[in-house]
Amino acid sequence: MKKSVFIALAFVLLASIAAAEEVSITRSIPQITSPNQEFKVSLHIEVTGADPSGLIISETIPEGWQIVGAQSSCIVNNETRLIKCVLYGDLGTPLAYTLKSPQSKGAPEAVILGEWKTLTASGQVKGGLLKIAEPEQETERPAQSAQSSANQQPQTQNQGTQNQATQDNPMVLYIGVAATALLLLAVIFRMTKKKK
Amino acid sequence: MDFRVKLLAVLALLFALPAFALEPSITESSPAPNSSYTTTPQLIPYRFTINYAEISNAGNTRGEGASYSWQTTLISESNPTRVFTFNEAEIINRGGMDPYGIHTYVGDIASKRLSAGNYRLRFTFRWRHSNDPYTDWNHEIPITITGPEPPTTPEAYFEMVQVLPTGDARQRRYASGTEGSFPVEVRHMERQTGKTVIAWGRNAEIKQVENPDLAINNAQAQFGYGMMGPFGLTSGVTNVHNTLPLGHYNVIVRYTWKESDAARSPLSTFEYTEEVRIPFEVFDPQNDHFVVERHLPRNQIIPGTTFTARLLADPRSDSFNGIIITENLPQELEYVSIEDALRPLKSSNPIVWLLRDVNSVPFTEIRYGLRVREGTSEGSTINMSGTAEVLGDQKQIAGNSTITVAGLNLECPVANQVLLNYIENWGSFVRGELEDDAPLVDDITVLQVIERWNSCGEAQ
Repeated sequence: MKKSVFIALAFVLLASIAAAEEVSITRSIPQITSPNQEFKVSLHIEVTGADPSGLIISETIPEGWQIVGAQSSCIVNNETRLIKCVLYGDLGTPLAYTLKSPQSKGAPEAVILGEWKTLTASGQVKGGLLKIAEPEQETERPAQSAQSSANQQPQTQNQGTQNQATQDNPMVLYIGVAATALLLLAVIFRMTKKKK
Repeated sequence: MDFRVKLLAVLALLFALPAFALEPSITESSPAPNSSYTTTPQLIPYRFTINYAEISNAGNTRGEGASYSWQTTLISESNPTRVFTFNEAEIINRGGMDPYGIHTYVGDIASKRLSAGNYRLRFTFRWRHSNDPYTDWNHEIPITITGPEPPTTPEAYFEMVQVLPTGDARQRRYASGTEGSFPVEVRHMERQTGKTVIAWGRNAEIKQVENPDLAINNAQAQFGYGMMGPFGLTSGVTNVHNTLPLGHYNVIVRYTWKESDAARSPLSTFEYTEEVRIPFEVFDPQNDHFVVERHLPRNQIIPGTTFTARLLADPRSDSFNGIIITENLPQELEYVSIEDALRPLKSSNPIVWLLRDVNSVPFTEIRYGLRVREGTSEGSTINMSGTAEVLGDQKQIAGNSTITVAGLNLECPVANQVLLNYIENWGSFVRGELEDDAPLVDDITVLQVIERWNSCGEAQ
């Protein structure tokens, strides 16, 4: 009898061991192909089991990667390199913040340290390797290669590319300005006529 | 109005509008709208050519600098805000050609594990001149994916393996006030052949089990490691200094990596995260027999909200095959079952857990939920008691035994402004800007307030 009770208890113990986490959060990071590139880190939140009323996510950004900004449900502490977000209501709302890659292309790969917590559970945020990769180019003009969300350097057309700047006449703009002037004239003419 | 004036006005508008409604034009776009694909993993190529010469010319005229960028995103029609993980889909840009004012943007959507449904490919051209606000111009192509549910992400071909230290945690016990160290070696080994690691990153930290939020500085304990060695080797030494407080700790080494086949096909490239936890302990030699400690939130508890209590069953230098832990809940508290927690043998008061091991019960953490019943007096104190029993011995549960009921006026309904005020104060706490005399609104407090607000419903 004693043996069977112990066996039953053992089964109960084994059976009681936890199922999957109630929350799973994965980072999604676009291609980073250049130093000083701004990019958005998105957090994919999946809730299984009971829906927690609130969720706090803490992301610690590695040295060398700059925090540019975060959406309004997040707080940024630049001193501790911490981005902390509180979610409530619709936990399916995606979360995102913006970082900037290091100035040096040779910066080593890095991992964001992320945790989430509810009132009854906690866990790690997964995925999202920070790495400056070579863009996979087709041909031609590597200096103008497309990047997923990169800004080209501002075009300073008054330096060195002056010829190029003056080659194409901005006809449409001139016509637009002229048309606006015409419209103003028409209004003034009308008002003058009315006054008379 | 005079006819001539009307005519002038209309002509002026017709000429003026194009100048101010600067937009690029798409001259080439693929895939074709409403193209259909299956859930079978595949590359979906895209190609967009836009002519933005007018915009570029306008920028040149101003001569104050200009910025242009391009981006492709994939949007689910059923959930437009859905974020796709790397293992579901990857957007791969393959560069393009850019004669002045014309840009061809090419790439692939690597559909690795996309479910059936309607999607949109959105090509965004973003520009600004000088310090003007950014302007986004979008071109969208609807596509459809059909078929059965895609397979799950494959199991990783690589895994983390702890090489050092060997032996169980009991071999890494350090008496309080002494110095100690142990080597750590973790490798990234091949579980099955066929792929290589193409990108890899790691981090490591030391955390206390009793208080995971405890900040541990290098003067207390440190895990020092060098550059990555062969086979993804992390090799270093954990130094435990004499100032590290009593408690149980874990050295946590975490790897995130991408692995792919020899051809580096995007469809075979997946990302994984894994960790290894190496426990050690700082103990009091004067008090080295088994104990079960209760850990409660230090926060005041709002009636009606759930909080987590923890029981740490610590054998210390003792060895036993079984231990029964009993919690006698006072009438003000009710037990709440929480997921991902060791279920009690008996969940009605008193709550009972049984821990067993054929060798010796190891250090074990038990988490369970509690709720202060509605109507409990604000500001009152609730005392908890319980026992831990092994063969031939019984002790009271040590550690925290007191819960203070919050003296907050959070009767239902909780006004939105009240919630927002707490969140504002929590923000100050996170930024380290909390005034000395301001009430502490940490993570647990704000989560409690949210739960209270949520359970009540919004204020009228």
